[in-house]
Amino acid sequence: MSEASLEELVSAYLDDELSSAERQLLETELAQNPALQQLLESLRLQRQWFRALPRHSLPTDLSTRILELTKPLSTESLSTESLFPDSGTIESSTSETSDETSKTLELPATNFSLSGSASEPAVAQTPSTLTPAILTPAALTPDAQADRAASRAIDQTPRYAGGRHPADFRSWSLVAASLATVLLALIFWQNVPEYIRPLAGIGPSSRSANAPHSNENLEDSIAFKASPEADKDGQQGESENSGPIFDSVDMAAKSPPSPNQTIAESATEIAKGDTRVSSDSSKAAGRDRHLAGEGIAGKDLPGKDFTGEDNEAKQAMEIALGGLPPLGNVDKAAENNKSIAMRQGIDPQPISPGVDINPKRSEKNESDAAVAVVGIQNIWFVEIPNSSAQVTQLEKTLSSNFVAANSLNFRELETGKLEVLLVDIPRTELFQRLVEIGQSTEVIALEYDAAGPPSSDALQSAPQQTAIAPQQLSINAPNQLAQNMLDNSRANFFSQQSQASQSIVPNENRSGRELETISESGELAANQTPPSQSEIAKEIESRQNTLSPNDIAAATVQSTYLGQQSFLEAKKNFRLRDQQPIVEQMLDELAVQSRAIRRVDPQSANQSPQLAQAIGGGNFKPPASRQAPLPSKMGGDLLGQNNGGAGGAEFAGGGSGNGAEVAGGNESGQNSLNRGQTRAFPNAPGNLPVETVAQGPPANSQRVLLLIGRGIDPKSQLRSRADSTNLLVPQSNPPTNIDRSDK
Amino acid sequence: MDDQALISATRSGDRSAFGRLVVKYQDRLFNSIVQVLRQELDAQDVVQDAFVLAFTKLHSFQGNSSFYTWLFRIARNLAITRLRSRKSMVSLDAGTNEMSDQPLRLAVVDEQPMPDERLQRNEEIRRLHQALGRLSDEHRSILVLRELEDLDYDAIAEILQIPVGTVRSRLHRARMQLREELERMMDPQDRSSRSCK
Repeated sequence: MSEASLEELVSAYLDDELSSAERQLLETELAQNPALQQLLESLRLQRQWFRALPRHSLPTDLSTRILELTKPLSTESLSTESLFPDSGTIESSTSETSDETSKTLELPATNFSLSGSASEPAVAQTPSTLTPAILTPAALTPDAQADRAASRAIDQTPRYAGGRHPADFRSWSLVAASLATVLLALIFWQNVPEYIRPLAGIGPSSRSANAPHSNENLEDSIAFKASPEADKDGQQGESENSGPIFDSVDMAAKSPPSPNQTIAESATEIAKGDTRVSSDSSKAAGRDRHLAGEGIAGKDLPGKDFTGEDNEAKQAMEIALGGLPPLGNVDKAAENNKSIAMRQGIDPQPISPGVDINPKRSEKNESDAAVAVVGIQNIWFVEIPNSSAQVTQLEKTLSSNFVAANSLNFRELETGKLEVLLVDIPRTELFQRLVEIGQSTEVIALEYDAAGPPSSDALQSAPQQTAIAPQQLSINAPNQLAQNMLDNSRANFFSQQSQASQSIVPNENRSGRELETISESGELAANQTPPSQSEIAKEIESRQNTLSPNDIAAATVQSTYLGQQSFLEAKKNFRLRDQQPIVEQMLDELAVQSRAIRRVDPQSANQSPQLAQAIGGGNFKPPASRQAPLPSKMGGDLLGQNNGGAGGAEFAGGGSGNGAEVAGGNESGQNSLNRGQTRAFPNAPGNLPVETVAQGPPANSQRVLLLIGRGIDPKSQLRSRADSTNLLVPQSNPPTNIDRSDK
Repeated sequence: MDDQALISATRSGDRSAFGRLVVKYQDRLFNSIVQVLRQELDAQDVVQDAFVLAFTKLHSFQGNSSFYTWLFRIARNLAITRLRSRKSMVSLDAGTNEMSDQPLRLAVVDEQPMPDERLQRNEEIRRLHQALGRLSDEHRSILVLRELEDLDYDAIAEILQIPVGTVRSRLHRARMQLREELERMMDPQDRSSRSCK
C-alpha cells in the first residue's frame, strides 16, 4: 500500500471510519512506521485545536424572528403556479438537492431583463406571497444567475418582500388588515373611491388599466393614517400617471384578497410601477416632501432642487434611514413616516438625472434611493492607476491617508483590520459584486477610464504616462470633516450659495441637464444677480430648519461611521441585492462623477469652507481673494462643490492646497459636469495639467477597481466604524513624496 | 420532544414547534457556518435564510436523514452560494486573490495579560483560523463538518452529496492541506517547539 493511501487510512482511523481489515492493517503499519505515528499525532493535535475553537453563538434568539418571517407562510406556500400566462420563465433552484423543490418563477416576458436606468423591474410572484423579485441582468454569468436563483428562493419569503424584512411589515400588516377590511366593506357598499378601487382588484378600474395608480393606493392609504393630507395629495398625483408600462395581471381575479396578499400585491405593483416622465414632478415632489419630510424636520422642506429632482424628500428619507441625530424634531409622526418609507422602499427606480420619475412614486423612489445611498455611500472613487508603479503609489497613498492602515495589504481579501479587497472586475459585474457584498460595505472604487485597464505592455512602455499624485486622490469626507460639516453647514450653506451665484457658469457652458435643472429650480440661473442681504436673511430664515446637502452628507457619513443604531438597523434589514437596479443606476451616476474628477484651483476651494477644511486639514485660512469671482469656467467646479449631495463632499486626502482634485458630490455631478469640456487652471499653484472631463459614464467604463472593506459583526462593526473615524481622517502632515510626473 | 415530533407538529400547524427547532439548532448551525463563511454577518444571514427555507420546504423533508443534516445541507448550500459570489471577484494581483488570513473574530483572544499557556493556546487557535482561511471552501467545509459538527462520513456524504469514499479522501486532503498551512505559518522557532507538523 502506498504511503498516500496509508496516510488516508490514518485520517480515517482518527475518525474511526475504517473497516476492521483496514484498521488491522493500519495498526500494523503504525507500529512500524514512526512517520505514520507522527502524522496521527499531528492530526490529533489538529483536532484538539478544532475543538478548542471558540464557539460562536448568535447574538439573538433567532426563533422569534424566524417565526415572524414565516408567519404568512405555510410549509407548502411557495407554489409554482404561474400567474402570468404570457410570461417568460426562469428556472430557479435552490441547488440544494433532489428533495429540495426547484421552483419556476413566472415572469413577465417584457420585463425579463434589466438594464438599469430606464427599465422596469420584473416581478416574480407567487400566489401567496406575491413577493417582488428582481431579475438578474443579462450580463451576469450563469454562476451568478444560479447564485441569484438561490437568493430568489430565499427572497420569496416575506422576509424580503419588497426588499424589507417582514418584521418591518408587522405593524404594516395590522394596518393593512384593517384597511383591507375597510376597503372590502367599501367595495361591497359600492362606494369605492376611484383611487382605492384597483387595490381590491374589482370594479371598473381594473388593475391592468390602473396599475401605476394602484401602486400607490395602499401606501397612500397608509400614509393617510399618518397624515390625512397625504391622501389628498395622492389623489392629486394620480392623474399625472400616464399609464402602465408593465402589463399587470389582476391578481384578485385569481384568488380573493387577504390582508397579506393585498399588501404583497401592492408591494409587487409598487415594484412594477412605471417611470413615465412626469410633467409635474415638482408638484408631486412637494407632496412627497410632505410625506417624507413632515415630522422629520417638523415642517416641509423647501430646499433647493439641485438636480431637478426632489432632493429634500430624498434627503429627509436618507436621514430617516440613516438615523440622523436630532437635527429636526424627530417625533412620532416622523417615525411613522420613516417606517412607511422603509416599507415602501421596494421600488427599484432610482433617482436619476434626465429620467423624471413618476411623481406618485417619487417618495418610494426616494426611499429606495436613500436606502441605496446608505448601502453604497462608502464607495470611494479615486483616480485611475495606470501602472504598477501607480498602484504601488496608490497603496502608499491610501496607507498614508488612512492613518491606521499602514499595515494594510490591499491585495489581500479581508486582510487585517480593515478587511480590504482590491478587486479588478469587469464593470458589468461590478454591481453584482456590490449586491453580493451586500449590506456591510465600505467600498473604495477606482474607475478605469473608457479604454479599460492598461495592458501589461502598455504599463511597461509608459509606466508614468498618467501618474497620479497622492494628494489628488478624491476620498469621501471623513467623519471629522462630516462632523464639522454638520456643525457648520447650516451657517455656511446659504453663504456658499451666495458665493456660487457670483460665479455662475454661463448657460452656454452648461450641460443640457444643468440648464434643465436651472430652469426647474429657478435658483441657479446663469449670471444671476447676487441676492441682497435682506434676501439672504430671508432665505436663511426660511431655511432655518431645513437640511442642506452638506447636512445630508454629514449625516449620512456620520450615521455610517459613527454607527447610529437606526442606521445599523436599517442596514441590517436592507439587502442591497434587492436593490439591484437602484444600485446599478447609482453606480452609473457615481461613475459619471468619478470620471469627471476635476482639478480645482485652491482659490476655488476658498469658496467652500468644506473644501477648504478638507484641503487645509481644518486649519485653512481663507485668503482675501476668497471673495473674488472666479473665472466662469471655474463655476462648474464650484457649483459642483456647493451642490455636493448625499454622498458627501469629496476632498483631496492629505492635500495641502496644491491643486487638489475634487469630484462632485453624489447628486451634484450631473449638474456640475460639462462633459467633454476641457478645463485648465493655469493659475493653480500646482500647475495642474489640462484635464478633459471624461465623456459619458457606464457604457464606456469597462473595468472597475474596487477596494472593498467590510465589517465583521455588528459589534465589531461599531468598533470598526469608530476606528474608521480615525482611519478616515487625513493626516495632518500630507505625504511629501508626491508624484508630479503628470505635470 | 424529538425532532421528528417537532417537525410533525410544525406540519400540523404548530409553528411554535418550528421555533423550538430553531432554538435547538441555531447556535450549532451558526457556529459551523461561521467557520465556513468566516464572516459572522454573512453567517447570520445564511442561518436565518436556512431556517426560513427549511420551514418553507419542510413538507419535502422525508426524514431519511436527521433534520439537522438536512438543515445543514440547506445552510451549506446557501453559504457556498455566498462564497462563490465572493470568489468570483478577481484580485488585481491574480496570485493573491485567495481568501486568506481572514481576521475572523476570535472571541477567546483576551486582551488581558494571561498565562503563557493560554497565550500559546490562543496563538494556536489564531493560526488555525488563519490556516483554515487559506483552505479551499471545499476543504474547509468538510473539516467543519467533521471536526466541528462531529458528523460521521455518511452524514457528511449526504450533506455534500458525494460518495463516502470521496469524503474520506477529501477529508484526508483537507487535513494535509491544513497541516501544510499550519507549518507554513509557523516560524522555525515555533515549529521546533510544536508537534503539529
